[in-house]
Amino acid sequence: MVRIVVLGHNRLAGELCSTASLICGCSAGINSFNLLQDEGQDALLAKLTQFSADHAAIDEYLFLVDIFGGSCFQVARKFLRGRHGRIMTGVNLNTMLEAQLGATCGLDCAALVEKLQAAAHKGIMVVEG
Amino acid sequence: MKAWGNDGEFIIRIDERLLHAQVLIGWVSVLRLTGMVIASAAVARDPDSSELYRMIVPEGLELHIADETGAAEWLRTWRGDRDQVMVLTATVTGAEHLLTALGDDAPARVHIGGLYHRDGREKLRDGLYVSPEENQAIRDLLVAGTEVVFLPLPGQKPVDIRELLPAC
Repeated sequence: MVRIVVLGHNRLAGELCSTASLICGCSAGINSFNLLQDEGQDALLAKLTQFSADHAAIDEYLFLVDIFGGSCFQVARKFLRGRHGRIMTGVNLNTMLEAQLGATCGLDCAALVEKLQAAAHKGIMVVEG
Repeated sequence: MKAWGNDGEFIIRIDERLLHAQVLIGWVSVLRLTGMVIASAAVARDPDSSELYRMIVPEGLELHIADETGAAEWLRTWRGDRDQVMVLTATVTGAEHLLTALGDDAPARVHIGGLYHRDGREKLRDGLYVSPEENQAIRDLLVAGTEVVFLPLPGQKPVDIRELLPAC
C-alpha cells in the first residue's frame, strides 16, 4: 500500500491538503506534516517515525515536498533509509488535486508519480490578458 | 560595514539545520557565494549525510565537508574571495572549535542562523532557542572578543546576541 505524505515549511503542507480537500472533497490516503519555524529537522523526523510505527500496513511512501534540498526534502530522504518510497519536490495545488484523486485509484507508486508530475507541469500556464 | 559580515572575511553561521532552504535560497544567491563549508565531524563521518548535501548544493558552489580542524585547513587554502564563503556549523561548540582551529584567521563575527526548540532550551526569538550550556558557550565567544549576532536571513537586521541572552 502506497501512502502519500505531504511535507512543507511552516504551514504549507497542511494548507495544501485542506485547500485541495475543499476543491475535490476527498483526502483519503494522504497525510501532511508541517515543519514549523521553531522546529528542527529532528522534530519532523520524529513525527514521521511515530506515524510509521502507528501505520505498519504502509509498505511504500510517496513524499510530496515543497522544495528540493530544503529541510523537508532532507528529512524525507533520511526517513526513507531502509524503507521503500520516493520523493517528489515542487508540490503545488495541481499536484495535490491529482494526488487526492489518484490516491483512491489504487495506482502503484511509479504510476502515481508519473501522473502527479504531469499534473504539476500542466497546472502552470501563462495566459495573455 | 556590510550587514552580514566584514569585508574580506568569510561568514561562520551556526545553524542546526546546516545547509537548508534559507541558506540555499536566501544566502547563496544574495551573497553570490562560491564556497560552502560544512564544519561537522558528525556529517563528515556519515556518508549518507555527506551524499545528501552534495546532492542539493547548487551548481557552481564548491562544497567542502570536514570536521572543524579540517574545515580550518581548507579555509586557509581557499584561493577565492573570502567573503564569498560561508562556513556552517550546527552547534555553538562547533563554532568554538572552529574559531580555535582558525586562530589568527578567524573572522571577527559569528552569525547564529537557527537553533530550534527542544527540551532544556529557552526561547529567545522565533528560531532561536538556547540551553544554559549554549548560553554559557556564547558568552565565552563574546569574552574571547567574537561578535555574535542573530541573523537568519540576509535582508534582516542583525541582532546583537547580548540583547537576547538571558542572565546566567
